[in-house]
Amino acid sequence: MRHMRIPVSWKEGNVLKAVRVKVVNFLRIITVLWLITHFTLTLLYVLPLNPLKFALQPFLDATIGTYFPQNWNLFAPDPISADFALVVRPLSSDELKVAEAKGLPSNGWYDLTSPLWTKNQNNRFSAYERLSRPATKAILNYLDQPDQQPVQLMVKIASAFCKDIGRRNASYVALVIYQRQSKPWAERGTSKQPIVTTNFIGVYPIDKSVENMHLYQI
Amino acid sequence: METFYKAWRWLADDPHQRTGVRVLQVCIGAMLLFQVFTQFPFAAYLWGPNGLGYGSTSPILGPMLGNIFDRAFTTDARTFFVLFIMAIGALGLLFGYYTRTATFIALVTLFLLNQRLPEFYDGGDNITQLSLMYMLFLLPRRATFSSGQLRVWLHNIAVLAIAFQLIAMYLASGFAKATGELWQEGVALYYISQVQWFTLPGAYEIFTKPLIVTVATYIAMFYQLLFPVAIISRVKLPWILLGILFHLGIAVLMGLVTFSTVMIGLELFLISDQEYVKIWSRGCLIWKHVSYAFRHILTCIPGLGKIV
Repeated sequence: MRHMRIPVSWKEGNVLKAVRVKVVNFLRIITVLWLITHFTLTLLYVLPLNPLKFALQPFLDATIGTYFPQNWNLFAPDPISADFALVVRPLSSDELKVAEAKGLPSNGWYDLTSPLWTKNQNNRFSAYERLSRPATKAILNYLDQPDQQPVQLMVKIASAFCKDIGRRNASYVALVIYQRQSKPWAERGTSKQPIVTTNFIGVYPIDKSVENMHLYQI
Repeated sequence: METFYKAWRWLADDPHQRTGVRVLQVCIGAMLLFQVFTQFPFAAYLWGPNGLGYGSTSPILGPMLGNIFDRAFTTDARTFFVLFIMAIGALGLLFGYYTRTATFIALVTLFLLNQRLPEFYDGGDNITQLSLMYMLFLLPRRATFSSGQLRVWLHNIAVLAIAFQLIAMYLASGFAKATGELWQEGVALYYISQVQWFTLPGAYEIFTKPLIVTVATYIAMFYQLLFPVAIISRVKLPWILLGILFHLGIAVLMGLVTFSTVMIGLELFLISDQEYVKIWSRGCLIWKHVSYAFRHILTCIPGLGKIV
C-alpha cells in the first residue's frame, strides 16, 4: 500500500481544495472584522460627542462621514418647533429704485412654503412635502450659517416662482424668512398669539435662466 | 467556544431573513417608484442643468469619475433618463426580478439625485441608500446556493449589516432624544404637532391632551432607546408591531410617507424566516376559526342557512 501510486491530479486537487478553503476562511474572517470595525465607527459617528469621538473625529469624517454619511437628529435633542417660510417680493427695476429710496413695499409679498404644506396636508401621497424641503433646508442652513450657498438656492427658488406666476417684468426679488414659533406648552389653548419674527435676507437679481417650476401658476 | 461555533455556523450554513429581504426589497421598490412618479414632473426644476441642483459626486468619487457621473444632469433629457432608470431599478426590486442588478441601479440613481440636491432628501433616503449598499451582497431572489458557500456567508453578513445599521439609527436617535429637554418633559410631540411642515390640522388638538402627548412622546423615545435589546428578546415581535404602528402614525400625522415605508420594510426585515412561517400558520389557523365561526353564525340566522 505504501508504494501505491496516487494520481498527481488527485493530489493537486486536494491541495487546491485546501488552499481554496483557507482563502475562503480568510475572506470570511475579513468580512467579520469589517462588520465589527464599520459599525463601531458608525456608532461613534452617530452618537453624541464623547472623548473617544472627539479624538477620532477626523478619521470618522474621512470614513463614515464621507462614504456612509448619516444624521438621525431631525427631531432631537430639540425637536423642530417653528415654521420657517420663504417670503418673496418680485421687484421691477423701477420698484427697486423706489424701494431703495423709501423702503420695500408692504404689499405684493408671496409665501412660497406654506401653500406646499397645505397641499401636502390635503394629499399625503404627493411630492409637496419634498418640494418644500429645498426652501426650508436652505432657510435652516442660512440661519445656522449665513453664507452664499443657501442664499443662492433661495434666489433660484424665488426666480422660478416669479417665472411661474408670470412676473417676467420683475428683475429683482426681495427675500425674507418668516419664522413662527410654536406656542409654549403652558400657553396651549390660550388666545395668546405665537411669536413671529421676520429676517430680511436681501434683494437679489432674478436668475432668468432658472427652470420653470410648474407649481405656482396663479 | 461553543458560542463562536454557533455564530460561525449561523453565518456559514444557510442564508437568513430571505422573506425579510424580499419584504424590504418590495418596500424600497415601492418607495422609489412613488418618488419617481410624484417627482417626475418637477425633475428639470429640481435636478436639471438650470434647476435647483448644484451638487457634485466628485467629493466622493474623485474628480475623474465624479465628472463622468455629473454629466447625468447636463441636459433635461439626461435628468429624466436618470429617473427612468431609477423606475426600472424600483420595478426590479418590487417584483423580484434581477434583484442584485435592480439594487445596484437603485443605489446609483438615488446616490446621483441625492448628491445633486442634498436639500431635497430626508432620513428615509439616507437609510435607503445605506441599506442598498449592504443589499448588494444579498443573494438574488431566485439564486441557487449550497450550504457553506462564500455567497451565503456574504448574504448573512449583509443581513447583519442592515440590522446593525437600523440599530445604530434608532440608538443614535433615541440617545439624542433622551438628552433633549422637551423629550424629557414629555412635550416634544406637542411642539412638533404645531409645525405645519410635519402636521395635520387636527393633530395639534390631539397633542394638547396631557395624557396623549406624554405617553406618545415617551413611547417614541423609549422605543428607539430599547430597540437593540428588544429585538433580541422575547418581545421582539410585539416590538416590531409597535414599530410598524409608530411609523404608520408618522406617515399619516407627519406626512413622511416614503420614510415610513422604508422603516416599516426594515422592521419587517428583522422577522426571521421561521417566525414568518409561524406567523403564517397561526394566521391561517385564526382565519380558519374565524371563517368557521362566521359560517356557524350565518347558519343560525333563519333564512340564511340555505344560502351558506
